[in-house]
Amino acid sequence: MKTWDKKKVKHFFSDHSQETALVLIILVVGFLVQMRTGGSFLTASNLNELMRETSMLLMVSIGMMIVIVGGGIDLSVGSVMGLAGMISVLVLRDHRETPVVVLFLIAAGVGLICGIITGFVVAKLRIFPLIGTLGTCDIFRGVIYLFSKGEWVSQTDMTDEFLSISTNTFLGVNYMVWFAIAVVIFGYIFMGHTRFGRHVYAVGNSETNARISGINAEKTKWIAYMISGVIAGVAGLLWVCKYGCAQGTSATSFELNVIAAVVLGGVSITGGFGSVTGVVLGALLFGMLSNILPLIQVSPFWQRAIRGAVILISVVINALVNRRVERKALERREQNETNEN
Amino acid sequence: MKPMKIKNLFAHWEAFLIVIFLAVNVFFISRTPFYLNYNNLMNSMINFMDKGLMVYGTMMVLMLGEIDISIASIITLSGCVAGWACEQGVPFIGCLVIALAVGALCGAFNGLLLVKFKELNSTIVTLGSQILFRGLAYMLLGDESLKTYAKQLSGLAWNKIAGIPIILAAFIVLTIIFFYVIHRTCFGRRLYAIGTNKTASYFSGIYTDRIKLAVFTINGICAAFAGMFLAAKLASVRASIATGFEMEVIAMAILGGASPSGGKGRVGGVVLGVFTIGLIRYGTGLINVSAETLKIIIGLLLIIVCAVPNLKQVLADIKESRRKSAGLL
Repeated sequence: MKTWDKKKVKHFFSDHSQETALVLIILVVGFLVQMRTGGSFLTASNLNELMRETSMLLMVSIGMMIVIVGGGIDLSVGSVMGLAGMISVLVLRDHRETPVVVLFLIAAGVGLICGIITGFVVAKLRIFPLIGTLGTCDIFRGVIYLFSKGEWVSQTDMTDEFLSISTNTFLGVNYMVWFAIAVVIFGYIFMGHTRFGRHVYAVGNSETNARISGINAEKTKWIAYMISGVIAGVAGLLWVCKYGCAQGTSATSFELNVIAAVVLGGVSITGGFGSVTGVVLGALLFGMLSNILPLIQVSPFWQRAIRGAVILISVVINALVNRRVERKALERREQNETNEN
Repeated sequence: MKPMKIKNLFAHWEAFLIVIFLAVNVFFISRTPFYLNYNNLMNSMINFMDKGLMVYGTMMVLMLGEIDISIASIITLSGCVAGWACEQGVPFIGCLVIALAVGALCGAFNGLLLVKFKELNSTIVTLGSQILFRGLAYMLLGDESLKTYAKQLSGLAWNKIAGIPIILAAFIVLTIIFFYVIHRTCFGRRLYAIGTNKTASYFSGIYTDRIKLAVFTINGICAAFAGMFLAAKLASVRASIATGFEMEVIAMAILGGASPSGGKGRVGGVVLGVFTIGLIRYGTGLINVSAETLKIIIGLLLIIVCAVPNLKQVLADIKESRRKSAGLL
């Protein structure tokens, strides 16, 4: 009985090697930074700030994960964030009495439209996702300027009610973090416990197989992009709210951070594999990185290189771990076969 | 001789491209009298040709079925390292060698990662190295800008040989070299083979790894070479130059008929792709279209261009689904 338990634990760790590694890294990094900064890292206010900082990354990462697991990639999320934020804030500027809920609906709607367009390009027109979304990324970015005419919307154009979202707390936790938590719960239920979520995995694994099994691959991909778009739209409004300013270049190349977080979380970039838990941990680690580098007084000019190195190293380590896991599994199978014989 | 059918003609991507190219030209000529001005045209070359110089590297990468989105960062890093070396008193020729060497190293770094870790996707590797290379440039220079190196290069940007800008001459030379390499050598044929079926080419005795490494290295060198012209044009090197270049270079290559799924593309088509996008940039500038609207146009063009070869398949799908639903009814 005891050996069985041991085996189960062992299997749990080998099945969740990525998550385990991430938790370990987060703990070790947290501990080291805590030592180095003499206790200014693990304070309630800094952790709250870290979570507030990471919440947008976390939200958009979940959307991106759904797309990547479905075998695509969405390089347009940064532009969608900028566009949704800009349009809804322009509405606020011209009609100051607009309730905040309506603003969020507008942002989500803009995100949805962008998602529908991107989904059409990738799923219907069958354009290679990387290229297609590179195109829509530029289009949406250009559309921001069409709406804003190159102007900025500054804090003075926004109402206090709207700006308070990024600072107010509910149960001691910032509203933005609640948004992120809601999205994570949605992603967890969606990817793990709905038929559609399982379809996404199937399509990402092998589109042909999925199609033969009667899954509408086009529709699945399309909906994945729509979800990613809606999440990016809402995150875009939060971005404006947090920084108190909407400009044409808001959230430019944010998608790179998002993809990096998703990849750190162990999602296979070729699709079909990845867990929400991993993505959450990946996003947290990535957020921690941007939070602690200034804390331990790393020059801002070094941070980019460190970020790039972290992505590459994590991808390589991930590959090495997977190789090892596969080799172990093969050995185990061979052993079982010889035992049976 | 086979009779020429118009339908067959359009099966060739290049023919379709010529139509687009002519349409673009006719449109701009009818809109503005300044378009067909020899000096204007030649000066516009200086503005978009630095991207044209990189296009063959990208094209070869695409032919293998890979993608490299780190080229813009390679330009920046090679330019910044060379500029820094120049400030340290390295002679000018040495700086040029350093720039090319850095480009080659960056490309080889991408290539090595992809060869050693076959399960990795080129998208994610070059995404990481894109951030890393530019980050290294920031580490080296911070937000300084260096002028000495660029000043020594400045002749490259605006001088002309026999009435054509040096950069255009460089592009023509590169075109001839790459035409020869891609269409007239074993190496070129192997690129097509690998792009079409990697496994089959491996088993037919092609050193796929070696070729992949070589192609990525060449791509890095091309980027560094283009970086020299860019530095000359900007008259300085900074860690923020060339942001977003990869997008336009890939757009040029794909418009020219290369496909990210590999095995496709001809040098002739890519030349047309470069000129089409470049002239759209030049023409829209003349008729007062803002840079932001231009972004929309190029994005749309990229999508339309990618969609056209797929249209046949899409239409067939629609037909089939209609037939199916009709059959069910």
